[in-house]
Amino acid sequence: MISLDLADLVVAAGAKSVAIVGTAKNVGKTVTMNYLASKLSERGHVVGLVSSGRDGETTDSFTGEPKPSVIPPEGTWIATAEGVLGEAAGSLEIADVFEKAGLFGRLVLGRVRDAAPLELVGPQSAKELATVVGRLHEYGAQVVLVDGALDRVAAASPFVTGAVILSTGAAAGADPTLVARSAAFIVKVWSLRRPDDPEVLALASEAIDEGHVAFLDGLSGSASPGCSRGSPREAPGRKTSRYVLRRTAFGTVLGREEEVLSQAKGASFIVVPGAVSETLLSGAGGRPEGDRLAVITKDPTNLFIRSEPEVPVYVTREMRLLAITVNPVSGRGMSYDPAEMVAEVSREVLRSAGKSVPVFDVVSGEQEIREVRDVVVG
Amino acid sequence: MEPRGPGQEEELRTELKAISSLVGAMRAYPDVFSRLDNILGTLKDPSHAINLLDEGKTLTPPEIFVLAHLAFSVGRLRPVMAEPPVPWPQRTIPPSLEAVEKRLLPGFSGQPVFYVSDSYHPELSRVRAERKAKERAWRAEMTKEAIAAERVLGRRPGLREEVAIRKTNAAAIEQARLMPELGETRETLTHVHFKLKATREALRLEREMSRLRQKETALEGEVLSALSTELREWRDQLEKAAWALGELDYLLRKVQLAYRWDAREPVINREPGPLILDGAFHPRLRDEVEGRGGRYQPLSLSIDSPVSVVTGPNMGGKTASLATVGLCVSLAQWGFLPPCSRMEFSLYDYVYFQPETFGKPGLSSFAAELVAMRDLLSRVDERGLILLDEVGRGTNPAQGMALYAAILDYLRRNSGDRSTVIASTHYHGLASALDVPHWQVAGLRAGARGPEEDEALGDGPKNLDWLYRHMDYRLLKVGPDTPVPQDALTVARVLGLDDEIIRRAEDFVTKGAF
Repeated sequence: MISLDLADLVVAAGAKSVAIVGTAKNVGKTVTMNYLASKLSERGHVVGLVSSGRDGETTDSFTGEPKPSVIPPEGTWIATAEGVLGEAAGSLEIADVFEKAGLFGRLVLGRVRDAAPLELVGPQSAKELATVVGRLHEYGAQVVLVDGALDRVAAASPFVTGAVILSTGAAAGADPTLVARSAAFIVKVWSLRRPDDPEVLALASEAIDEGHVAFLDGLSGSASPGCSRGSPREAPGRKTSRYVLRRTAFGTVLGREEEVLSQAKGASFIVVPGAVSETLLSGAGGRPEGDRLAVITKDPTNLFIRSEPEVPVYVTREMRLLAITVNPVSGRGMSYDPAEMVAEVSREVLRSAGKSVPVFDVVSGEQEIREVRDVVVG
Repeated sequence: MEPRGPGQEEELRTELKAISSLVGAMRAYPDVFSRLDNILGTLKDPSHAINLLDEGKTLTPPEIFVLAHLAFSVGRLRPVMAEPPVPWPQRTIPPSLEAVEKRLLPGFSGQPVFYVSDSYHPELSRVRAERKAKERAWRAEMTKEAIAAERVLGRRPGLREEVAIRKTNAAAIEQARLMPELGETRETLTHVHFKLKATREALRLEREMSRLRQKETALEGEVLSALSTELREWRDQLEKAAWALGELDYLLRKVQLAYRWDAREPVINREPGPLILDGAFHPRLRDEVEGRGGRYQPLSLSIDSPVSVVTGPNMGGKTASLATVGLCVSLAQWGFLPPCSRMEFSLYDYVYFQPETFGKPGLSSFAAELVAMRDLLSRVDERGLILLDEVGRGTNPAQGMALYAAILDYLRRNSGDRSTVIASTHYHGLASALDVPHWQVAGLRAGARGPEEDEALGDGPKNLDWLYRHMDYRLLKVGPDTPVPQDALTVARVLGLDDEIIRRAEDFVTKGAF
């Protein structure tokens, strides 16, 4: 086992923005966020903090105890809604106020002069969130941490953040095995790859940019779903390529999966710019042999599924999962052996997603890192 | 903001002249304009903050920041506006907010930042310093505890951190329980959790810190309240500045458009007179045409009759011509230099344009059209520019044309020479029936038969391209001997209708069947 701190991992990965996504309440996401913010600050990095949407209640629903707030260290750049700033506004150097107002007022961007507890409320949409992350960088934040959750998953979109940490724990399942399985499933979805064929990728990206559901029809001899590693080819052009991009009038597949799929005849891929539902995946998989479709979507956060997809799914932009944190104690008093939980999650992720991801318990300091690949440990 | 109407010719002339001379200034000093643009691009809306001042409320730090930002922007803008001899209208020059800037952004450099700084209250710096000193003392005190705990735990715990000892390590748990520095917080199936226990001195310091925090918050509130009172005295200046910046922003957009369009000041007549346009274009249409590699044909026409009729083939740009006329006149009356090289007109009370795709839910297109006509005809006493696009096309052709002719006749007789009506139609006899001037889209160029003549017949869009290239969109005045163009069948063929149908249609035309 290699001894490595979560903050070391973020630094070594060179991530400029990291989403911290919780699988449930009380999985230690805020603890992770505070831990990273303080460790990174101690090491001289200017940290930025923002949240996608609002992180639910400020008190624990079971115990009624106040939930841990974010305590940004001095010098941190934060973005939050003016309506939840309260007394913390006095210890903030306000550098920008966004024009657009949300439910809690306008977004305020400032530098923390004095560490004080703060509530983070930020934009919901990936586009706006990406703008705010960009602004925090402009003002001087070197590493921006974005608070997210599975129901506020825009934070993790690779169009918003460069890397992701998944936070899970006892609160996310009835026993360590179930917690580990659910984490492994998320890791699997988040590990979806781009299609190997650059032509497929280019055409799919084009349809996604335009916001149309589209089909890629295979020209002679290449109409099998999946991504063949073809020979290098000329610049993508509809007439000369192996695929033709066929746009539909649909902007989304939600609620009209059958209608969309009824137009799929002759297609090898369906390209979906927005949310991909389970209904679409089972519809695409339920087609007769030889007529099955592979699905391409923007990024893994577009998939809203609970079970293994029946067809190959690709994304136009991949996510980068840095680590998993576990909190072995649930809000309801359940607790598991931290070492056992860390090991279980690590094992299950490797077994089912075929990926070794470092797992940490930021509370008790337990950790399991198997063969960390793209991180240089000094 | 309102458009200028009849009787306000002089005011409009002055406004348009100002834009015209600013376009000259923009050519001479482009840098000044781009610097102003940069400043205006970052403006925040201060109206909410100003409302709060009016209501006597205390402003929050973000609201004060918005006003600080306004003062900062004005401070950067005024020197740029004063630099070269640019004839800025007085209303666009914001009053100085130097005093506000000094007060809200003391000793700052670079981008504006608002902070309830120590300098606002003599006690604030003392209280903050004292609290920080107590925090340092508290940390020192607790660190001693942490060092002591390290002996048992094997690692030094964070000062507010909860640490867990595994139950299998019973000896360590026993030892931890005996340590005065550690307090047990909870026990789970597998672990016992501890936290550093504050010493008596640390507890005293914590109470002090909390008291000082409260004091600090109260002082910050006092500062915000005092600043709000001070800002209330500058309220009018702040609002004037905000308005001036709004005016300047609007004016700069007008100047940029005039520059981009190479637009000229129009001649504005006081009395009803001719409507003359030369080289007029619809900017969005022009962008679209040029965007697909086409050549946009500007519009020229001289209307000197209260009612005129325009005819032309489908795809010949009748609707686009009406839209262009309406746009040029509307823009001019709203104080923009119109997109044309020359324009002469009189001011109208209203511009009415009813494009072909007009409709209201619950009404058939014909019914919707009639309701609109009824409203329009009730305004015959006012001066209107009335642009009608194929009224009556949605009903029986003979009755539709009769109705159209009657409406035009009514307008001609009842609005005298006050209004200008331009009516597009496919009915060639309409102009002569009313004895009014007749304009006609030049149509497909002589000899143009179809894309197959030029090149191999392609798919739909290619044929559209052919149509765009061979259509002469100019409006020409029709004389008594001008032949009626028969472009509809060519257009139909170009758009891909079966040859057999086209030949049959030609038969019907030859026989004069309809």
